[in-house]
Amino acid sequence: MKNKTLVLTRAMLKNGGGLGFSLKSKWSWALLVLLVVWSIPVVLYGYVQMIAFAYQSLAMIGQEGVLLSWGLVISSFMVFFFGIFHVLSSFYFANDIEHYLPMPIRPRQIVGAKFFVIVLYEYLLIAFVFLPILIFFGIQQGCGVLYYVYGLIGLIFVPILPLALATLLVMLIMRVTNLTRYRELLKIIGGTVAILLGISISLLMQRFADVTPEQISELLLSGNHSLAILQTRVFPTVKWAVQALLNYEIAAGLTNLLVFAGLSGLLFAALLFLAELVYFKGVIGISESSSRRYAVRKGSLDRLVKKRSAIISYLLLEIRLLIRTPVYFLNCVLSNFLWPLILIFSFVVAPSDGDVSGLLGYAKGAINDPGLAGIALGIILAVFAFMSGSNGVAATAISREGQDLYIKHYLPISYRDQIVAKLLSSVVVGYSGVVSLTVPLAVLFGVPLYFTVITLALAFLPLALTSMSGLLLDLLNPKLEWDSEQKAVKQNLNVVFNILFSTVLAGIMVAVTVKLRLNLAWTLVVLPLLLLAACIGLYRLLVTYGVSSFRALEG
Amino acid sequence: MITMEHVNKTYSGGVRAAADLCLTVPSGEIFGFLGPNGAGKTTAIKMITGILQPDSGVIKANGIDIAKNPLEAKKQIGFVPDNPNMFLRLQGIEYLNFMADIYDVPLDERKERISELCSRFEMEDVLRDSLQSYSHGMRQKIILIGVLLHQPSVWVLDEPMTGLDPRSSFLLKTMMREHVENGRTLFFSTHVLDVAEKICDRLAIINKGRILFTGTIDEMREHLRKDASLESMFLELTDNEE
Repeated sequence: MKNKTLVLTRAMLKNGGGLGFSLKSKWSWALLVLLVVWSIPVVLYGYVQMIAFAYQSLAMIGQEGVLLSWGLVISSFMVFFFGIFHVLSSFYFANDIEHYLPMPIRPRQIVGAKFFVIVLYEYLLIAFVFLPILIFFGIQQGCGVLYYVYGLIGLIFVPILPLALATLLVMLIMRVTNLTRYRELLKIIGGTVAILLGISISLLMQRFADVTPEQISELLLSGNHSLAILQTRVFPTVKWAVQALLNYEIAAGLTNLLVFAGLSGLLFAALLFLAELVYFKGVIGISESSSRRYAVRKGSLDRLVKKRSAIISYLLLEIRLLIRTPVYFLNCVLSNFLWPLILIFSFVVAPSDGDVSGLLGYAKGAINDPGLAGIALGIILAVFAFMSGSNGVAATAISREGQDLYIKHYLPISYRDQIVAKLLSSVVVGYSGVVSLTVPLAVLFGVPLYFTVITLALAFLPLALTSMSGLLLDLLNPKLEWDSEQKAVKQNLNVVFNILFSTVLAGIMVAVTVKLRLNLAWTLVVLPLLLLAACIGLYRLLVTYGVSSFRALEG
Repeated sequence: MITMEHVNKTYSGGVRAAADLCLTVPSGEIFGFLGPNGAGKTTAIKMITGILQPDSGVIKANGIDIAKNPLEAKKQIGFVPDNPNMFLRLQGIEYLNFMADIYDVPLDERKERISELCSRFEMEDVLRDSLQSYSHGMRQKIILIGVLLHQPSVWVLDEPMTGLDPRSSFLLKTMMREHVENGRTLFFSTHVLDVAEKICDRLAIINKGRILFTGTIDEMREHLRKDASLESMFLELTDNEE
């Protein structure tokens, strides 16, 4: 008889692993491979630079070995962190669990299989974080083959401890509470934190570029070895793995490796034992409709019932869906607020005498200089055009309807009004991004109030224009055939086309102000007129050609 | 009243889903629309409600041409689709407000109707929950409530009984009867012959885009054999076409 855990693991892997992604078509594989081949050398180059720098700093105090434990601790921490969300979605929120529950399978078999699937996924992460460190260290120290063998064996066991911890944590939480009600919210939080983490790391990497190795070793010596101590406190087993790698030439290396592997195995066994006790109790009932169920009394019903105009109500529907659907929120809404965050963050963390500060001074001067203020305004509006054009709210507005598009055909609201409401949703989302970018930067730069007001007032034009172009693109060729919301926004070429359009538009706007060397007064005449003319043209297209395309679409 | 005059529709793949459809659904009667899978029921309903445009022919709701005056015609109709999985990320009350806004229901009227319909369908307790947390039957009920808010004089229901519990199903049948007794129009599709037999005053049978029969059940009995059950009539009607 086959091992049921392995049978389950295979079934889960074939179904996309319950991790939210599955690559069924050859095209998506090809696209992924292309993306990986294109991006890895770029990212890897920066990463290896950082490793080399850290190695150098540590070598100065004769503590190169700490590099390995850093690598393992960082890997473990990432596995633990992402593991919490993976375990939540795979163990408790995935749709496949309901199929397994009625089968004669033990809880430990489901947990074991799901654990293996996540571990496989975590190997990708660890390979990326730890392998470069392992190889770099090996080359620098001139290590033998056994070092790499130990390294690879260690790598296999590294995710076990942090993932087991994450699983235990989640299983215990789910046993005592029911987070199912918040599953969508958790997806949004998880995705947001992951993106923010990614940005912080890349900004931190930039910051490293300004510090010298001497400063770092000084920091390490004076700081009570706080970073080195971290390894034993948070993930205690890591120290055996490090010892195994450092002593690979003597018997102690093998002993340490065996201890490390054995401990990880023991922890896994403990996890399975606990799964028998608590997993089913937490998981059974997740498919029940979870809701608050409290009666709405006559008085409170009166408060809940509100009247709005059809367009506003439609706009509200669009925005609610954008915010409440995790995939839409992460891809269409959040991106608007990341721009400001990246910019502000990079100014705040920038060293006071660096390039950024020089740029800041220059920009400050440009805005206050009547001769350059026009060009500055042109560039700012061009940035807004690009921001709004790349958020995908308008360029997926029809695609997001998917198979439910027919509903919008029988409701008694004209196609033109629906188009206007969808346009407004894009402008509202874009504008909130613009405000959150402009206001803090205006304070930071000490921008005159009148300039800020002009910027905010004129921002509507590039936002409206790129929203219209996106919507028109999506009306002409919407992607309505999808089974997961992911496909409506992530694999939608209309977003790419609209980014192209907004890039060209931004280029034209900058070119006009720079080439003509317009001062502020002339910029205030020329740019709005050009944008307004383009808006009117696109709007005409939308209410004629766009409306007839909408009418002809069959959901 | 709903009228379809010489309506034709051929899909791009060459499938003819409506072949010279002529149909009058009078007011004051429950009108059933029967046919096997792929007969053209859904296509006909989609054209009546304005989801699909016919290649030729005229469709009117209460005398208003849906092609010429789509918004007015759509306001006459309350349409309940067969699949209630829509607006899942809205709360019940948000969905009802949305529908009332789209159908332009005055504030006082909507308060009264939401309160009345929700209590009839026992949905008051879940109005603050998202539709996602509802069962199939509850989703059906909230969709139905949303459709009835503007008191449409023409009801178009696509397989309305599927998924409803016996109590709600009985309630819906009662409401359907009340609706036509007030001199209004009711058009519903079903493949459950029992339902049709029990509640229809008049019915039409469609197959391969063509209407094979229109009339009362008695007339159909007469038309075919005496005492034959509707089921065998139905099978006979559709089989002859094979």
